[in-house]
Amino acid sequence: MMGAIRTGMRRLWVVPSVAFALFFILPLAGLLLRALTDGDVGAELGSRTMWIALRLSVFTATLTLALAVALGTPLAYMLARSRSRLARVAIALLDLPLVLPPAVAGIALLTVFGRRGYLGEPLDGLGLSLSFTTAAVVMAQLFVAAPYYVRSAYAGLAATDPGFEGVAYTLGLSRWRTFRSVTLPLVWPALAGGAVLCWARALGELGATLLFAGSFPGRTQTMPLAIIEELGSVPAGLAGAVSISVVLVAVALVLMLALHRFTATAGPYR
Amino acid sequence: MAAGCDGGDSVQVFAASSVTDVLPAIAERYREQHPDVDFEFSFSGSQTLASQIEEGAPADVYISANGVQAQRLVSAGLAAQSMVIGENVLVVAVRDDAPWRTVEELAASRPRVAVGAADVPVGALTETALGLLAPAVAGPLRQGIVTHDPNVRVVLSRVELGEADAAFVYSTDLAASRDVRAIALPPQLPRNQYVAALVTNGNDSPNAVAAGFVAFLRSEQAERILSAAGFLVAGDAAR
Repeated sequence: MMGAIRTGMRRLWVVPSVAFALFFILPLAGLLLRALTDGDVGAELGSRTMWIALRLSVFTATLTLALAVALGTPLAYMLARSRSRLARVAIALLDLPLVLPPAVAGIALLTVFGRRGYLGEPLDGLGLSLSFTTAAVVMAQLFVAAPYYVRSAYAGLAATDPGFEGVAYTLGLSRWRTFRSVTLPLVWPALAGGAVLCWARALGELGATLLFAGSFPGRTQTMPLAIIEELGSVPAGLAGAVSISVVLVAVALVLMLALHRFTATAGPYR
Repeated sequence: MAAGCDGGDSVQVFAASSVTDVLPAIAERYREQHPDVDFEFSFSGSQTLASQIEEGAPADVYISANGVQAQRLVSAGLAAQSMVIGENVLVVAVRDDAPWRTVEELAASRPRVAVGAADVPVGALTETALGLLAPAVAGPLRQGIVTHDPNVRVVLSRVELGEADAAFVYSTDLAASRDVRAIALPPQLPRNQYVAALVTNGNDSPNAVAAGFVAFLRSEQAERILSAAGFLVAGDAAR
């Protein structure tokens, strides 16, 4: 009796699942098909501009992830273990960059770090200018993408029982050993999932980067910027944009699979 | 015609970013005589819009910042009756409080420069303009380029925000912008033409309402609005 219901339920789940999966698979297949028919993926693979943009994209997104993990893990830990009202406000604020349209994030960064920004203007006087530099690309990506990591790390840490840490302390384990052998294994899936999200979001970042860092080949022109430029170009237009997009999707897919594999095997379980 | 199906006389206008401010004003004037016509606008780069129309986007009127894309749609049988509705020129935008009056003065102070990407129309025209300038002037301007932006509005925003000292944009882009003024470029630089076309999507019977609006774009009333926004119009020569 129960078995029959379960089979029926499973069938019920299959229909929306497959339909939803197709909703994502079909546009990607369409992109690939269009690139193969209209576009010239071969020409893009031979294009120096494309490779320079790709290298910059992978470099900046990876640096963004490293900074997000290094700075975001302590923040997430503090927020998860704090009971103060301030922490609760901070957790709510953490979602704000996710809602903000990326272009607005770019303008927000300019108001502070731009050449006429509150911090940017005195820095510019010292001969230090952030806008239109690779550092600005990483800052834009960090602002937009790091919240995905911190949010996920916070959720994982908040769900673990601090009692385990307490027991470890009473058994004489140091704070670091406790974090390493008790907390980390418990939250690893949340950290790994957040890391993949953060890296992927950084790789696809467009609006904030364009406004804060501009688009200069080799310095600030990441793949999404190269794609948007190609879209407005004559005569390549859509065909050119589609061809570069396919390269970005392919590279992202390979690196995401590698990242997933790494986080699954290199976890602290071993 | 596909657009006729949404009921009522609705005209979908796909237009280049640089007519964002002036086109709704013209449509408003048209509606004074044809109150039953509704307009929906979609503003973007000319090339992006042309791609969307090729992908079957439901446009009735296409206004390009460049003759090339409109001609491409006409050749593909997707558009008809393309005609020039106005022209503008490339200028260098600087902030009002900037000390420079000429490109020579600008170049001498080694400014930060924003330009459109080379394969985007405004960027291609910028490249032509730099080629017309003396090497001693063009050199420092080229070296000062900090960004190759995907469209002209972004290029102008660099000067508005103060991130760049100078931006190569169309004269008409400055009309909507405060605190920014233009430095002229050599007069032998070719003008940039705005072309309106009736989108047919390969259909035999074009949208009559849309055709009426395209014709109106060449009227004296429309030309007066375009002229006030800084566009050079056909009527200018006669006046």
